[in-house]
Amino acid sequence: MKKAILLICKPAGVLLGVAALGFGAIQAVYWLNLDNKFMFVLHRILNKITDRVPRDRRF
Amino acid sequence: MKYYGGCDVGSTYTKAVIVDDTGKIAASVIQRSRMNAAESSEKAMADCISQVPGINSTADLGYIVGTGYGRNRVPFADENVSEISCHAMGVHTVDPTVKAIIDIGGQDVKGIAVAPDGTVKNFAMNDKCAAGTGRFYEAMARSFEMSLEEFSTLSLKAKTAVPITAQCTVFAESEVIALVGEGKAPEEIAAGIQMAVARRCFVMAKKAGAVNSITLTGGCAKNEGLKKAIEKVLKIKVTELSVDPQLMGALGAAEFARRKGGAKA
Amino acid sequence: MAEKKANNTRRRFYNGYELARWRKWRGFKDSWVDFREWLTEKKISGELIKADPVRAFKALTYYHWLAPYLGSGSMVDRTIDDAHGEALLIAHKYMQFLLKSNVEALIKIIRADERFGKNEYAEKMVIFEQDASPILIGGFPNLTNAVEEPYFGILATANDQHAGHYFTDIIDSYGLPSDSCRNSSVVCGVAIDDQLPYYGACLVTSNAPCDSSVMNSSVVERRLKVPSIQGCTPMRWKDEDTREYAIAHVKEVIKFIEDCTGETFDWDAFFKTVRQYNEETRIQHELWELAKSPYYPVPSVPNLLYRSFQLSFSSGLNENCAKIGREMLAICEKCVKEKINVRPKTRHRTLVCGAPSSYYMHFSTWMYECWGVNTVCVLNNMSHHEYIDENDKEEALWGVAQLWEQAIMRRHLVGGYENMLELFEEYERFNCDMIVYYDDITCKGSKTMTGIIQDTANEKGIPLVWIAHDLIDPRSIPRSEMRKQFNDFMFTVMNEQPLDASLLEFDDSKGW
Repeated sequence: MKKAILLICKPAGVLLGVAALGFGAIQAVYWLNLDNKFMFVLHRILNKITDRVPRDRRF
Repeated sequence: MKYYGGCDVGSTYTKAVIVDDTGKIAASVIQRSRMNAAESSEKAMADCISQVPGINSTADLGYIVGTGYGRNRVPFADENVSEISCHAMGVHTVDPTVKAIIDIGGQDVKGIAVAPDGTVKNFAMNDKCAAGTGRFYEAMARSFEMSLEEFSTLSLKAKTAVPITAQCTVFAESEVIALVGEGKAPEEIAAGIQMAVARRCFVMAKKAGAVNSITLTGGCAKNEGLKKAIEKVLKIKVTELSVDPQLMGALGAAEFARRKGGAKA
Repeated sequence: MAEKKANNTRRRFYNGYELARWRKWRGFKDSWVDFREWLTEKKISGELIKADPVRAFKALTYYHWLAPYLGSGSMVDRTIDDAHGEALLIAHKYMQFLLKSNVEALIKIIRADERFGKNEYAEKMVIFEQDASPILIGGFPNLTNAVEEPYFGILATANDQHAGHYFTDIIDSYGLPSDSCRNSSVVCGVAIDDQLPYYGACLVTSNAPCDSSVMNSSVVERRLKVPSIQGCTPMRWKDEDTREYAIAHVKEVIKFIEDCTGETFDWDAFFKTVRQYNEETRIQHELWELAKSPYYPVPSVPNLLYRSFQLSFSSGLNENCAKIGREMLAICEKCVKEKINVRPKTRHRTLVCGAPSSYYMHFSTWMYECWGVNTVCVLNNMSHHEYIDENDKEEALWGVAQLWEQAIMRRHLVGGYENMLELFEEYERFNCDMIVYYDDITCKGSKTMTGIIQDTANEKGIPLVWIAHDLIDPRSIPRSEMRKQFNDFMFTVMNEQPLDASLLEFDDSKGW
């Protein structure tokens, strides 16, 4: 009986733990605005790559 | 007797006024502004306080209002009020019949429509361009190798005005130098300059809804030639104020201080 | 007049940027709604990469105008900042619709771009220029429309305030006049810098209402190397005398598209699009009826963006447009019927007119948060809102010509003066107590009317504030200067104190 319960509860517990961790991670990304912070940095990098106008043509 | 203070920190001049609790001016000061707005305001107010027996420092004043370009840097002010509101209130205190103001300061020009209670009904402001401001007049006086006071009365001698076409202070200065070189009469060039400024003021005045009963404030209000030119362009008589027009901002601030301080008491 | 509080709202943001350190706490219920909708928005944004990751990567590393769209999440946050309750949900739904439509449009552009390889899509696209409605594409079911200016200029700048002036600097250094409308100047800069995608069977330019656009169209036409026609129907305010010419010209545009693509105009399909457009218009009329109420919940910026999309990008072509409109209408009806007040900070109701600044698209949000000024009517939204005939071909084509005449940036800026003075009728209709006029310093369209508008406002005793801006370039008139203009007005003319003094002066000049 104990073995049966463990057979169900252990993977369920693992799944629950993973789900909780995942939800926590998503919450952290949301509340700390990590998505936009990442995009901001990526945007800056892409700006540097796509900025092909020569210095003497810029104000 | 309680006293209240107003301090108008401008880009060119700093003005301070102290009024008593009836609103009568007890002391006033006009000084050249320094780079540091806080220092300018402290010195001006200190000099103003020294004129009033019985008070020794800003702590003895019931309430102080700061205004002007440097209004957020008046360290001893209890409150800051916009210079537009202060000019309106200052003029209203001196002459409640005035409905419109053209304020020509060191670096900006404003047209202000005044409500019957001294508050602002509407305003228009040019603070992006030096043309038509005190800076412009300083540049022009420099071209004529005259003081501002001498320059302001020069145009009164002219029979006609030489048009100044340049809109920009920098180019206008070049144009004036060229006209002087061509031998044009200085008074006629000066009259042209006054008309150019008056036309700019016309736009501000109209935007602010000025219809009749207009007055001038700010340092340029003491320019007699400009006053005549504005009357010509606007076709309205300019009301003379019984108090130095350059003090209107500080006086308005002091009046706000008196009302606020009186209410607090 | 008011001192900055020690605890300030802006501490949530990095100094100089509109990038938040953390998200806003809105209470349990609203925060849960915000989180849930944020998940949806992330899923939508991810579609841009998912559709074709290789092409998306190539496009992002080539096109300077594409990377700003990475900031769309932050842009959504900015535009919904003032929303709570039902208003929050409405704002999110509008923004999701816009995001989805933008992503779909950008995917279309990237997929069809022959710069990254030949494909089957390029020849199926008809490019419409300068906010001209693509409604005619409804009659060509095998073709699809592409719009350019908004994606390169206005929308990119709405995401990143510094996106647009990169390209306007290019046209300045090229020698073209720099005092013309920045909206079309941006596309000109894109064209000169060889940043236009290579696609399209043909190009339909429009008589976007100024010399700037005429100048820029000619540069774009030369660079794009596809056949082009000027879709220049008359802009004479509701002038029946132009009818014959207008209808003839719309027919010319149809024939041009047929000749370029080999397709035949399908009237049945076109009338289906017209019916869809009329449905969108009907919904908008009902929304405007509700806007008169103090319980009208719709925040102005998301609605402005939705309506701009509906008129300039969709015009009946996107069925989701009417669907989302119906859903939002239902929420609004509920709020008005049950007197649910989701805009409790409202102290003033304003009508906003003129071209809003792209680099400060969320100015209305700030007005509400700082001063309690609720934007209940955006005059730009009241561009063409008449029904097009669903049966008669000639009447329908006249309707298309009228739609172009009364498009955004035309209806309330050019074509006459009665249309511009309509703002005072709308002011009464929506129970406003002030007017905010966006004064685009490069826009010549309304300049001749400013005196008359000001005089009329003075006569009627209507407080009117002019907010000068430079549309795309925040370096000439930054956001802080726009706020200062409004602050001066609110302190001095309206005699108000701010609701949140920490929002009076702050630095957000650096990015996004």
